[in-house]
Amino acid sequence: MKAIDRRTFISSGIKVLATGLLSSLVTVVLPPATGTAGGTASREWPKLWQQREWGFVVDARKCIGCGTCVWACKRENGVPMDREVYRTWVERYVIGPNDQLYIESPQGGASFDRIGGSVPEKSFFVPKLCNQCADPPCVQVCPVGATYRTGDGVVLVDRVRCVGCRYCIQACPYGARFLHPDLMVADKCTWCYHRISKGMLPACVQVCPVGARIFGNLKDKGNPVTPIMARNQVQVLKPDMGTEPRVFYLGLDKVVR
Amino acid sequence: MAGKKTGLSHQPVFRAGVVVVIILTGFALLRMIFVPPTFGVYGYYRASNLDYWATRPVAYAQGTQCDTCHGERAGFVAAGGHAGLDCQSCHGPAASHPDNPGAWQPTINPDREFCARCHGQVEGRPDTVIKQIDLDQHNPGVSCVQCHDPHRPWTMLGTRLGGSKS
Repeated sequence: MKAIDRRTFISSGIKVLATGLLSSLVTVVLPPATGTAGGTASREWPKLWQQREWGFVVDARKCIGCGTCVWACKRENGVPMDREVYRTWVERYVIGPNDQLYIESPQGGASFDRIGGSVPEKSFFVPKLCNQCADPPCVQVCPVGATYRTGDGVVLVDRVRCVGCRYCIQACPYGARFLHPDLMVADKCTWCYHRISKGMLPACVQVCPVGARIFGNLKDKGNPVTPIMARNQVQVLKPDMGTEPRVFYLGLDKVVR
Repeated sequence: MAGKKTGLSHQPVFRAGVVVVIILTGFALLRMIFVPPTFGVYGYYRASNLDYWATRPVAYAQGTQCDTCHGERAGFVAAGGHAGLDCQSCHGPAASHPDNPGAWQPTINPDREFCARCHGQVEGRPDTVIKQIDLDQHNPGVSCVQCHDPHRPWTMLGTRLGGSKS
């Protein structure tokens, strides 16, 4: 066998490397750098988003604290039933005779019981869920680009990209995010994006027996949200945080936070 | 100055250019390896993740779908106090029921506690919104559905107990 001398080895090695580099350059350059939908998302999302802007109204005066929404949300979205994690939950605010404030949400509000002892001055329920903020701090802090806000106004988590670092859970002023106990990625309310994309209502809205949750497409004439927004005084949670929440409340007490 | 070489490959500008090309190529290669497909199409995220969320399976069927087979029952409900309720509010998620009605049936829960989730007297529950009973006072120990048809709560009360509430 003929031995290869050093000069031949180096020069042929350089040739091989250069060929490889050139061919990989071709694959980099050939597909358009902007990455238009070539085998990517199956739908023309920007076209869909032009016709859609979701709106969510919670009428806190109507909520009866039955917890049907809490159960329905867990079942619809595969959130573990037996763990203390919730995409939507209901809080009960109880104000005592001397302005003591108690806030509770047993099992996410799925089973409220009677309060023993003295009769409270005032008590009411407040349903909570992700506010799908227009300026979401959770999206800003994500170090891997795993969470984003869609063009029709829903903040989603990419379960493949998410590394479970929990920054977003810390950043949310509303406590709307949690670490999924089975998947170990951040999880949150999506306004049932799979349902609303098919023309259905979010599960919590659909099962609410008293109509305390109202949902619709703001760009759709005849949607139930626009008239409510037009004729009522609506509030958002923690407006001072500057997050521009997109869940609007009716009949919110001043102690609610 | 005697040994100065004048070929193209010995021009400083050419050599710097080679370095720049190598850096740019390296950046393009690394970007190709580390940036996932469809990332950045619509924003700072993977566009294909939109499809993941939009195509998740549905557990709760569309509200009107029950009427297709259970129209008679739906009409009965619509004329009573429980009008406007979604069937699945009480019977649970039923999206898998229509495809194979025999294999899986929605739940029927006749427990007192189940009705009390909405109708039990609890602090914070507005009585302007929903009728409530004191579980300790109102026929304790008896299942609600013995007197009240859950699909139209006042109908059976008239026939069984001789009352006249309608």
